[in-house]
Amino acid sequence: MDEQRLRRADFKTGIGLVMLCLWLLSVTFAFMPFRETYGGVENAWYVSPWIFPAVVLVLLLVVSVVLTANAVRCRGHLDVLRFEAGVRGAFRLTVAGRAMMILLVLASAAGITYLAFGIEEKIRLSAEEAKWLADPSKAEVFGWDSPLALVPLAIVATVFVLACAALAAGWGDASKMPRTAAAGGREGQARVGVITLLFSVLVYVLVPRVDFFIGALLFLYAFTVSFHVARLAAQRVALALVMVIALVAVFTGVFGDDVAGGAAAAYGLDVVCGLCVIGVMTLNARLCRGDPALRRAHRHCLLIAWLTPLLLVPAFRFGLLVPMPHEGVVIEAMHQVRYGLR
Amino acid sequence: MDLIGLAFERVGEFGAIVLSLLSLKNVLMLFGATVLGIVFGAMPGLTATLGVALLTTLTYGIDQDTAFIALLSIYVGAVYGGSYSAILLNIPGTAAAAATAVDGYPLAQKGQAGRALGMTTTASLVGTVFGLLCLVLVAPFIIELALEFTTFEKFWLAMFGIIISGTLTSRDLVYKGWIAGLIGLWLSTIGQEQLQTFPRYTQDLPSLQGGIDIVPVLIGAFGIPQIIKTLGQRVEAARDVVLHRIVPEFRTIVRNLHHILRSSSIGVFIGSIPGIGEDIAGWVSYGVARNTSSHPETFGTGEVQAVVSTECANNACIGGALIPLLTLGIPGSPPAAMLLGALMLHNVTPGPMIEFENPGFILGFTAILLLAAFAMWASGMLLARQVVKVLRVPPALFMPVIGLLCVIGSYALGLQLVNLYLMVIVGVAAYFLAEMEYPIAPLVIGVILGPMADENLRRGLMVARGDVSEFFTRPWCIGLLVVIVLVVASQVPAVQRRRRRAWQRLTGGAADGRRDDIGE
Repeated sequence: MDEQRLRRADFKTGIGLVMLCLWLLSVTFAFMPFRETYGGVENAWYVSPWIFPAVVLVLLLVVSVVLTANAVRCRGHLDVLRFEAGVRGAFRLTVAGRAMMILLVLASAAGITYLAFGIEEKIRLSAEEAKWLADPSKAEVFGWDSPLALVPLAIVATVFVLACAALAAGWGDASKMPRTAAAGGREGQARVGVITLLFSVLVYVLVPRVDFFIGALLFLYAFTVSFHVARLAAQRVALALVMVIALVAVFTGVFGDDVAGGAAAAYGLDVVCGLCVIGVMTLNARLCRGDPALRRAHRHCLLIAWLTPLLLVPAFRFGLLVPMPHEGVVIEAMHQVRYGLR
Repeated sequence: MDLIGLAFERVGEFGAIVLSLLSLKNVLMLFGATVLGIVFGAMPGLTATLGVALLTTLTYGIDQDTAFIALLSIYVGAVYGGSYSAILLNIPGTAAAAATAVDGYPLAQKGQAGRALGMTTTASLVGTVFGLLCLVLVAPFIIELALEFTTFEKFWLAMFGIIISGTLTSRDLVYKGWIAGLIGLWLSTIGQEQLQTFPRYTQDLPSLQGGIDIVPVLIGAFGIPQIIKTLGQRVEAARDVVLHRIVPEFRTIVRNLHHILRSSSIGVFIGSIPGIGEDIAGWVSYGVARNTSSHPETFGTGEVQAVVSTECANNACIGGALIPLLTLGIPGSPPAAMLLGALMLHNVTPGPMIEFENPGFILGFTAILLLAAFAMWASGMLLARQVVKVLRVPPALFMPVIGLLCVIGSYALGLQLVNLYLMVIVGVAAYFLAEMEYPIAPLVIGVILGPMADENLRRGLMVARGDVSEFFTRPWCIGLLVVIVLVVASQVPAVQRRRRRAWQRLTGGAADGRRDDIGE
């Protein structure tokens, strides 16, 4: 990244980190025991679980503020807002700035609610804990007897007010603001997006519900075709397959595994996925038929997609005795073959 | 006379350990893992850290000696293997070999690829052996020193590790390294804390009660960004890589002995600084070699001295990185961080107590490192031409396989889906952080050192009954604190300006350019 883009990214990251730190500090102060009793034991402030996270978060907050300030000094804020010191009405938010500020308003509003709930919860818990003490009058209400306890709430409330004010003041016409260079490399971004999508679908959708062998086969095939076969149609078909299977898996997840009824349905998704993968492999083979280079590339993809799980799954399952996350129709068949061979 | 006798006794003991390790299974593992390491190092996009990470999950079920042979062999092999693609393709297989490419590739273009590889192979051997000698000699002193550390010093030691690695690994703004380290420290607080078992930031999710496992974080932080980066940049496979005879080049090595000693010392020193990896060792050594050379203008045109210096330094860094790892429990480099996870998996807790809990462990570990160094040399000499063929495999074909290995590896250790979820989140976040020039090593070191810092902070406060001054008045605490303050203060722009002015006054302005060169 060049210097200017780095500073622009720094500004956004800095704001994000400041928000995150404030949020986590609020959670820390609101929910973690301070001097009061915990588990029926009277506590001292120096063994409280919040000490270390609080120290870390305060340091992180300070460094994040320095990062943001440096970004503003290097004009990294131009993507989000514009201001000129001493000039009336010169404060304007861009579309991204408005989105950020709306997010900040919502987050701080949620934070105020959360903290209020936290205080109430702490008072309730303290009252419960007090029952276990020899002298209940010694019970302290999670340190909330001190005015310092209201600091996190005050900070989040200030953020809320400031964000609202910024939103109101900067909502004017931002079209005359200086434009910044567009973010680089659409192709690079698309590639990053595809890789993230493939990993997310594998880990969050396929691994918990589809036979690991079939999930791995689908992941490897879609991944290799997307990056190795230089034919857009084949890439689109592979990615469409991933999306369709992900949707089916999510659908069955939402409506329950027994949506199709009984134990036989446990393998239903595996069979559907397996057949879809084989169907798309056949379709892509036809798409690549005319060009020898494409055909060879597609053959490589097929080889990697089939060979890798064929080697890895038995090696981990039967060699290292690691149960797979979801063992469905193929791994069950492998078990049967193994017992048969014995 | 007694001293000589003792030395002979220790050498004999060391020889016996080496021999005891040479069973058929271990030798096969030694060479297998070394060749795998060289392949990992040679292939652009695969790194030593990733190699150690993926192999860690496979060594879970095997005995300790064999497991450590596999892990150290892949580590040594991968650090060396990076020079293959650096010399032959001008694409460093690992960051550690980036400096090697500057002069290695011009040598290959002059038709001396075999000679260059021979030199890097022998220089890597010498560097690794130098590093392990330093490990053996220095570790006992550090352990003795570290045993004097109480809970107060341990807290500052953990903070020192994060500040130092954050400072030295940042390529953009120094506080980006500190931010990464602090994020790592915060991540380490998720889960039930040790003293009161209070669940922190778990959002009542049972799977987070046990905290965050180190291995999925490491695999995510180093594996996923590497895959995204390699495929996002369209790294192409090598087309025709021709390699003729590879010669050991002992004569060249002897001629450059003083460069080798200097570079190896630089490598060990840089390796022993927490979080600083082989890449920085290579660059610093390259810079020093150029600045001290009588013919600096030949650097970049295929200078033998440059290739030898960088390869010695990056391999000597391995021994250096193991010094803080084994004696203090603080990893010296990213692959060493992964090695820490592997050691813990095999019930070895690195730190000052390592020799009490596992007598003779450091000597055994060093013996394995020595075997790995020789296996690397032999494999490099005999199998280089076969390994080079692997460079023809396009990244688009092997990277998805690595991705799947990352998934299985993260799952296999804890058998928990939450580890997988975490791995992807950490991986994607690490990619974007790295894109914005945040170093990832301090983040990982933060996750590793977080529990140490947390426990010792509160334990110290308990011992002192809440008296914070104990953290600032003990001699070692003052020493560590002074170093931390100096490191932080040295990054303040005003201090930097004054230091630059003072330096210019001292050297008459001539040294500034040289310092910049080394920094580059």
